[in-house]
Amino acid sequence: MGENQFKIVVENIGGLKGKHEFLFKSGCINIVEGPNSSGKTSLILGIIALYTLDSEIISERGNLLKIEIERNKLLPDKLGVRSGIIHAEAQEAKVCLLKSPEDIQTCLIIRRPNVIYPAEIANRTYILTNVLTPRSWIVRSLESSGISTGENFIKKYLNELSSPIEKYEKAHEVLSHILSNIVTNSINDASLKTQRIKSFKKRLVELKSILDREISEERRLKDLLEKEIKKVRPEDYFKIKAKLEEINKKIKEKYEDRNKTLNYIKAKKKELKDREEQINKIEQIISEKNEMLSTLYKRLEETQKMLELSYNEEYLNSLQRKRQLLMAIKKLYEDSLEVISNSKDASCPLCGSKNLNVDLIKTKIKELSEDIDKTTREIIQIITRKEELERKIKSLESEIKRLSEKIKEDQKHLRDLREQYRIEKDQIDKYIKRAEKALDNILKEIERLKESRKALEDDLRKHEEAKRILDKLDVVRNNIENYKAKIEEVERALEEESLIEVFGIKTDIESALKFLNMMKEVLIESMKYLKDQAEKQRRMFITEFNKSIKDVLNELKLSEFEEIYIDEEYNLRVHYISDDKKIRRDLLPSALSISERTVVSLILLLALRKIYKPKNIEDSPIIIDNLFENFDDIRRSKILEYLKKKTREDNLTIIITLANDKLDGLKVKYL
Amino acid sequence: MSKDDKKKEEWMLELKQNIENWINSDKDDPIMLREAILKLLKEYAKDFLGKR
Repeated sequence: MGENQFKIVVENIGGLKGKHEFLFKSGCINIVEGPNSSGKTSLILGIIALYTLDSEIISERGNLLKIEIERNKLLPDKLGVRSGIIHAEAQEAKVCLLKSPEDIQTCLIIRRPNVIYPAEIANRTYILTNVLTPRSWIVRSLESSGISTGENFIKKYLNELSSPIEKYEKAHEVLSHILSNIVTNSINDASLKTQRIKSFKKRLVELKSILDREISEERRLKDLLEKEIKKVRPEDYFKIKAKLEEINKKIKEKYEDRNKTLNYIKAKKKELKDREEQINKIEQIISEKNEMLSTLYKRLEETQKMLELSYNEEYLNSLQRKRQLLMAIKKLYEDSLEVISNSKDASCPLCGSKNLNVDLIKTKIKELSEDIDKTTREIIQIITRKEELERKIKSLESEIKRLSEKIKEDQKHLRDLREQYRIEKDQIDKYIKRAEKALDNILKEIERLKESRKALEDDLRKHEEAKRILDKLDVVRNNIENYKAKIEEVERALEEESLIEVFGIKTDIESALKFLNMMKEVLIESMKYLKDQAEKQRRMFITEFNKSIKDVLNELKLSEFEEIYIDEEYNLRVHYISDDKKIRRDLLPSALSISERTVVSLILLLALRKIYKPKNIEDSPIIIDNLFENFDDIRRSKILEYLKKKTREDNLTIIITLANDKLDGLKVKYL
Repeated sequence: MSKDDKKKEEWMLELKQNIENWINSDKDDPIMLREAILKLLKEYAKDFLGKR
């Protein structure tokens, strides 16, 4: 097999049962011919599946390839049907690419059910830029024009093909997610809290006003009781009055003590809670950092694997030997040329022949120089790639080291905090226990005081009016206690509602709302900027694309198209020249015939490849499947002639399928 | 321009700069960008609310 050739071996792919080999040549058109149902598209599916493997990106995420292949309709929804990539009667399918030298081989093995080996990420770009089939995005975008379906394919796929556009859109998505899921949600929470605070405050005003009424009533009843005591027990009036006043004063003081103790317990519990939150936050940070560390380790492993797979020292040595050999041969030819130019009677230094052809030697020297350049480029590419991966590994290793040290520091800090917390907790628990005991005593004392007041008052209840007043006073006192408890409850709730956490900072609602609204404005403004930037990039891409379409159209010299371009709305437009030489301007592709649309698709693909040359797939074949049948003989030969010229000029490999019922199997013809 | 408007302007510039740096880098994982932006917003919250 020559250097400008490669072999595709397929086994049980689609309709092709068993093993089949096909030889393809670079720098020419390879026409895969055969009758209907002979396996042309099956072979093409195999080749596409093989080339969607990106040999430089190796990972454990094999599912991605499966998803990509399924999304692009290379796999059927359910395996096993006739159109599937695995032959209906087989359990495993295989596609292999054999390149010269013979030891370069890439293999894709697909096993049932839904398992694809090796586990590699699909190279989606290959499908977008090198494949033209009735299901390709270019062909589909011309069928629908994006107007009836509401989805503009051209806009969608240009975003995917241009890295800056895609990144601006991704960044826009990230900001939009943060805005709706974090900022807007926090604003909503804060607004709800504001409403609740409002209603609590209203309730508090109501309760306090009722309490004030009850307190005045208590005062009124106490005055009445005093008068009554004066009337029924004039001799003991001052004694009873003083005693009651003393008890009431003591009860009031005890209630104040109770509140102070309760606040003290609350403050101590809060101290502990704050400390716990601090510990939880650090634990959370450590766990996030650990996750990041495991991602870095995974990336390191992937990169090391990549290096292992992409760098073959033996192959590099063979390339270097080949280069030296080519240079030595070139030197021999150059010496021969020098000898010829210096002597009329020269003979070949290799074979001694006197019949020397100067032009042939010059051509050989030129070919050898090209080969040397190509080999040198490949050597540089391999070494550059190796150095690039080694640099990446080094940077990942230092990142891992840095992060591991930070985690260690955090863990030490966490250990210290936990120890401090343990000591503080023991101390605070003791304080709380002591305070609770004191509180218990206070409450008992209040009860005792109330009992002695009751005993004193019970003596007065013997008198009818005093009894009536005292019964009322009992009810009022009870009410006062209930309302005070209710007010405490609402005040507690109000305190809880008055704080909100914003990006890890606890703050009051008003400040939080102010900050969140400012943040909202910043995010909206930044999103607008990103959208504008994406649009700017898209316009630049379109301008370049339109220029490239014009170039291809000029080279192709098709009399029916005056101009093809993508308009401001990302719709494809055509200035079409009809048979009567009239120009129909700004047509949508849907107005064209299938054959014309196919020509336009081809022009778009070639124009796209001119401006968009992604790494690693420059040498991969361009595939045109199931489309050449749409052309009549004149158009077909005109296009083939053009493609033939392009394959020679740019050393392209084009694979085209063509139905031919006169053949009894699949054949590859070279043009 | 009020003090808060100046703050907003400052944040916006820094945020745009961070995003542009990510766009011009060879990193393309949006999760990393999200993490970086959230870290930035936390710093703003600390700066704005922490002093209150």
